[in-house]
Amino acid sequence: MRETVPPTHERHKRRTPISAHGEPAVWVTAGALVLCLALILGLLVVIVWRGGSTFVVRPIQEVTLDDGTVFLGLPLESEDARDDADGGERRRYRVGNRDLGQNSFRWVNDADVASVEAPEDAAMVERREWGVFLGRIERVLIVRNMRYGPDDRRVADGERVTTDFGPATVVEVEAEGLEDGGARVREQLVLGAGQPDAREVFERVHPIVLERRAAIERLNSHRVPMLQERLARLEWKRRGIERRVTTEDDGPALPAWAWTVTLLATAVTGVGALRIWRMVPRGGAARGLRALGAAAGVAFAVGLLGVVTEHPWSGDSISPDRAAALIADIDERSAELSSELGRVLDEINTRRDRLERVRVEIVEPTGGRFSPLSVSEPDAPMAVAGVVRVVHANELGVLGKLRVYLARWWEFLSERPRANGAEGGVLPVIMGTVTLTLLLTIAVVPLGVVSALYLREYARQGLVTSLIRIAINNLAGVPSIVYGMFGLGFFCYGLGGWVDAGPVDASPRGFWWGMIGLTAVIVLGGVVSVMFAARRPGRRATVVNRVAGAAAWVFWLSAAGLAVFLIANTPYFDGWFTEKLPERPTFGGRGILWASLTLALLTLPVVIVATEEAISAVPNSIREGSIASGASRWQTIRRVVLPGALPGIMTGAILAMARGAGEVAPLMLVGAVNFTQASPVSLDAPFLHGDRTFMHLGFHIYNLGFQSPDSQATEPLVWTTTLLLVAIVVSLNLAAVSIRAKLRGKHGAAI
Amino acid sequence: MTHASGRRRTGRLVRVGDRAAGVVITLGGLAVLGSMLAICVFLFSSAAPLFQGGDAEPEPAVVTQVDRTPTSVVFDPTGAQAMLVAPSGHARVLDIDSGLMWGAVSLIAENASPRTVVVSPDTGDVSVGLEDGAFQAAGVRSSYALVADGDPPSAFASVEGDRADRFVRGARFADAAERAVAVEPAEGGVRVWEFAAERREPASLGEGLSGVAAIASRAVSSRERVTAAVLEDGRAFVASTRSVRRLDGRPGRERVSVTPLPIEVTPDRTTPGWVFLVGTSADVLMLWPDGWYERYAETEGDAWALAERDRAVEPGSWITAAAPALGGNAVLIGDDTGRVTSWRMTDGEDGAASRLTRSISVREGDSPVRSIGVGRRDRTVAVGFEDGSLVLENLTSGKRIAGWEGDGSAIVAAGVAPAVDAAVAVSENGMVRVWRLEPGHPEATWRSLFGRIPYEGYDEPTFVYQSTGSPGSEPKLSLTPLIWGTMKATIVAMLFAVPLAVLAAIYTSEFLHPSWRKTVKPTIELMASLPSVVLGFIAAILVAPYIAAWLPGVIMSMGVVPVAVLVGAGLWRMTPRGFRRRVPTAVLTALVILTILIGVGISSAVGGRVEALLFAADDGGASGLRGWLDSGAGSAWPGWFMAMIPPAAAVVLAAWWWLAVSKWNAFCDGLTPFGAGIAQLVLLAAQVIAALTLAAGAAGALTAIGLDPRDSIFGPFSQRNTLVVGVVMGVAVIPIIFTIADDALVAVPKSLRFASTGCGATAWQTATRVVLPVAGSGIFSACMIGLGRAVGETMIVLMATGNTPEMSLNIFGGFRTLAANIAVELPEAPRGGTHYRVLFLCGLVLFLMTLVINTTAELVRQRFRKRNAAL
Repeated sequence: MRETVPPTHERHKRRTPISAHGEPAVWVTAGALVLCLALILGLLVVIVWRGGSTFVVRPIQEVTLDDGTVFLGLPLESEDARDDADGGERRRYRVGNRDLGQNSFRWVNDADVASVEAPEDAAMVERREWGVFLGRIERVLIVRNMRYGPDDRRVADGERVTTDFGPATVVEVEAEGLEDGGARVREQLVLGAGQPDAREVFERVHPIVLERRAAIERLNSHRVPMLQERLARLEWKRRGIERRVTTEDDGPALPAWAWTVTLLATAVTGVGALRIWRMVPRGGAARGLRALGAAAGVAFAVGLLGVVTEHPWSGDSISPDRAAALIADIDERSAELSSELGRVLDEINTRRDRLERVRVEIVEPTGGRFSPLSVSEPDAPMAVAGVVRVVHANELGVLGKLRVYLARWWEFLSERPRANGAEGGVLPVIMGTVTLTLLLTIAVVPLGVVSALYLREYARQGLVTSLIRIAINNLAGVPSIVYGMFGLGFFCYGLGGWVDAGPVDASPRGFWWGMIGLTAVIVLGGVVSVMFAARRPGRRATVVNRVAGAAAWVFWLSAAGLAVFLIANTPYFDGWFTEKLPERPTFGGRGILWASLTLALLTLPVVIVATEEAISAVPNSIREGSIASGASRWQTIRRVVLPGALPGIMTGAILAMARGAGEVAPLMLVGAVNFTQASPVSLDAPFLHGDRTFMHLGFHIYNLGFQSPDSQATEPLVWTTTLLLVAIVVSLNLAAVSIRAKLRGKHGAAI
Repeated sequence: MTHASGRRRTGRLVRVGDRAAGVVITLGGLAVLGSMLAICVFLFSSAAPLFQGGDAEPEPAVVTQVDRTPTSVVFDPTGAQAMLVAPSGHARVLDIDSGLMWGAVSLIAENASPRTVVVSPDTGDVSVGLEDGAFQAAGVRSSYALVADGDPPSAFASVEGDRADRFVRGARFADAAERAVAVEPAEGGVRVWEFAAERREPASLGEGLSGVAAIASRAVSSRERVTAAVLEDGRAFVASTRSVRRLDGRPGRERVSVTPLPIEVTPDRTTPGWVFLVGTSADVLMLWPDGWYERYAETEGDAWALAERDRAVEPGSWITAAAPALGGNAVLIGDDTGRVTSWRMTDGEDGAASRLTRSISVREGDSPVRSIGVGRRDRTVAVGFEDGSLVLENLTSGKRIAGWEGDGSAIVAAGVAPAVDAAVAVSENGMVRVWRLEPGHPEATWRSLFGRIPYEGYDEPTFVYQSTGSPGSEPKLSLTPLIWGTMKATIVAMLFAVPLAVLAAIYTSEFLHPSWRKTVKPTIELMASLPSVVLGFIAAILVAPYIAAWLPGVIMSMGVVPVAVLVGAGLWRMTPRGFRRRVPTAVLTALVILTILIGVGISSAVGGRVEALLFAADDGGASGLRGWLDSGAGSAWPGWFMAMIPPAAAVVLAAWWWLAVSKWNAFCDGLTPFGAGIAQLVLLAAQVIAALTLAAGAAGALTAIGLDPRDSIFGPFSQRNTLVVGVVMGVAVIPIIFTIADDALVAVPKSLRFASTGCGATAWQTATRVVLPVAGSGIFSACMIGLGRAVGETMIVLMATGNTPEMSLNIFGGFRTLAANIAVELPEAPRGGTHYRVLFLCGLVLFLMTLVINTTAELVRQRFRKRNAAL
């Protein structure tokens, strides 16, 4: 062995040259990776930071300026002052009190500030309208307008009385004597005044008021729309009846004798077809006879269609008497409903008025102005019911701040938007997104799985499968906005219009029946060519077999095309929602159903690819074992292949959901709206309203960030919405990734 | 035998189920193909009608004989009626649906004798020139009263029996007394329309003048009208009519001031045949039948002067018809060869006098043009010929909408309905014919959708996209600016994304430890799932203001960061070999991060100073780069210098590569690591200096030639600009390119790598000489897929640009892409209209672009797979 090593070995061994390590270039590639990662992580950090900090409780500062003005504000970022020659800084404060004529934000140069304090009693009051108010709670009172008769006992000024909310001191504001000796008196019952007292009372009263308000709102947001919807439905129904009375019949149906003849002939052909089919043995040379049977079957189907559509008692119209009776019934019911609606509305109003009597005076430091009831009534203090939350930020500890922070998050997730989306929550937006995503999953998963099964288990790999693969690849690359256009044009206007009003220009009946006949012939051709396409057992395919096989494709495809044409142009369908047209299309406009179908099409490639991967990962040996045990193809698929592929299918479904939840561009065209009162899911039958528009997180971001009148004020909430959306999408993706990882672990590196 | 009998037959249900599943699954598989086809077919079928012509009925729907042959036809805004005005000053209203004539109203004061009657096509106002040298304005006004009667009032006799059903559907009736009255059923009764002439008092141009041969009138403000009149003897006047509003509400008086035009009157000169007021300044344009025109413009102090004089038609031809185009900026001139040309005012460039130029030739026929009717809402004209034929054409696109052969009797008046669904022609023999048609989409032709069109108000043919405008404005539908914007955004994004993603993929697959790769790859893939609306929001709220505030630093860092990394690599080379081997990847990565941070720090610290050095404030205006960009002042050199650095660096690198790389490597290999590191740094410094010098020289040369980069690649700065979109859209496509490129690199068979390293190659040598060539087509396909994604990206572009469809190279300017255009405009486009279909054409173009890109990617990928399978 020693001899084989050449003695010059040591001399020949060369050091690797320095240039071979490609050092600078490797560093550049590493730099590229680092930059990519930095961009991504930076983005995520920014989203989490800005989105998560929206609800952080900030200290309230009382800033006294050199010119003597005092204001309360939440300090935000500072930067170099633009108009300060000394190069000082300036700070941005969030100031509320917009109804007192202030902006949402205020820049203050540090040089102008005399003193900054953090008073413990300063409160940040979140209101239902006009946003935040910064001030101090000075008084809690009940304002009521009383009308006393001449003999009624009137409360005296300064008297202590008991109210629903505890003891109160009476302060009479105005009394106006009436002619009958009585008086109309505006009374204030002060529940608590002064700093510690007023606050205690407020903290006791506020939850009670909110509870009552919630009860009223429940009535208002559930009962009222439901009644209105029912009334509207009755109105549509009435219009439908009226239309059917006034429109004339579409013309005579078949004369009775012709119809009877057709019925008899159909029955005879049906029986004949059945007999022939049963008589003929499977296989063998009796192809001609079986073709005859098939022809009889097709004739039977056409005849049946004719008998059903052209029955002599056809016609849409109803007799005027019957219509009058129906309309009277509808009128009665709608009168009942209207009166009930009126009662409910009255009750809501009464209860609201009573609740609105409970007021709170929240006073601003400068000028002693308080948060007004409304902009038009600046002298009346605001209602307690208008207060969402009071935060005494400066006296809260860490735990208290955390509690407020979490409470705000909860509000964000569980409430409707307020103030054009600048405040409040995104519950309907989440609901819309979730409904859309679920609908799209329901639509896309079966279709995707079926397509993948076809590609992997049924199709012979050849021209058709490669065409389908190209189609899938291209579908994956088509811009989402193009799907939106397709959805708008095809689903909303085309399919939806058909559902609403039937075919735009229906074929004349004669032509239509002619086309039915043609279709029947083509179907028959398909049946016959399928018979000839089957090769004899144990023989090689003959030319006849091949030609017939190709012809069968042509026949079936053209029959499918004709069937679509026949359905699209049927003269026997006038639409299901004609009575609402043209002013209120039902399915003929944008809606969540069409939006989810559009997104289903968009996400179809994702599901197909994932499912195909999973199916191909199921080992062939298992399949063969199943077939060998006598299971049919479908049984094998259902009991063996699909269960094995389930994690993969789930991965695909989750990825589709993630894509669907994040996609905005097509939704702008097919149904997402800035705001809708009528949610697509409701307690009203049919519970899921496919025709309704919806709100969507992604569109909400676009909308709030770019279409909002006060985009500066909405920006924090947009960040939070962004965080929510990103969290949903990222967690869906992480779920998919982990399922896929598990799948890989199970099946090895096959996928 | 026993064998066979022991075999159980498959159950019927199982067989049927198997069959059914087969059918359903096959159908489902084909449905995917079907949906692809459906999208294709649907987009095509929605956009295709744009390119089809109109559908005109060959026979007139209405033929009526009138006694006083009208010479003007003008439709009312609804298109339901047309007013026919005869030279005698009588107007009749023609109902287009029924063909009924509703009596006559006289537009002229009783004792006046008209000489010329002209109707303005866009307002329907009538100007009458009288025999005694006076002029008068008039109009037909309609009013209605509601008559509470469900049945046709007996006063209005029903016309013919077969038209009786029209009443139900809302048609009109002439009343028995032939007054200009119409009846229409309305809610709770019938609406009775009455048409009446609204005559102004005649205003005299002066004492003792001859008859007015031609007249034109135009409102220049709500209170003032200008009228130009040419007398029979050739003299011409301009009269300005100001209405004086009275406080008590009574009809106001009108004050007329008349200015004569300095027109030469010689005995051998014929009288002008037509007079028009053209352009925004309402110049007076006179046309002579022999083909000459003269334009008079107002100078200071109410005086008028001859502005230009030229021929409007070829010598030997005669002008046979003329009409003002909609909007008054252009005049249509028809000659005896059957050609109609459009002439419009062009603002002269660089302060030169404005001129009248011929913009388009409408149609050439062999019969002389007799009449030109102008559409009321769009740029459609109806041209009537001497041989009685009538042609409808769109002025903007030049598309011929319809044409009808004549009966030999010349057409003296032609009109086209506002919606272009009807055309009216009046023959010399008093025959009035109305044709109905489906106009299709007159504004859309291949040229108007993709080419340059000489729009009104533009000096030369341009690409413009401006789908919506004020009523009466010319729709400008060129998709070229949108395609341009799409390309621009995509290219900038790809310039940013491709190097980063591909280099990162190379590092990940070739040099990164596999355990790191396991976390890095999913992290970047996670990025692919970030909704684009989020990226768009961040682009607009964070990135755009940041880039605007730190522009010099951002631009500088693009050059400084790579250099800093290279310096880091040089320093790293200086360390002893043994030390380098022992350092873990994490430390190395940290070092790379450090160099990047140093690069960023240097550029943000120095950026401002470099900016001050290059773009010093000039004459007290805006300073710095932004000022330089926006003002357009200052030397062009710094901009060229900035722009020339990347190509100069590329040239220097390429030169070094071709000329000296092997010698250099050989030289380095002879050195110690420390020496090689030093050499590396020296080389880098030399390269940087060379690149900067080259860039400076090139910039000097370009500036000397007189080129300014602000005319092309730079321009005014807008906050939401191409650079922002490029960066953010780049971030959006990086993960896609990265993932696919990484997969392609990893898919290179292990055996190849082993063989390479077994021969003693380093990881770098293996990567560049073995892996990259094999995976090249896969990486290309990755880039194509990224490109396809960038082309169709909507939300980022929508939110991070101003969406102005401008066509410039300016990387600091905005643009509008096809996708953003669809998103912005489709929700408002009425279904089935031209705009709607043009948007579908946008979608189709987008679809085809991505189809080509994706198919290329797919073909390349298949080739790659095949080759890999062979390896």
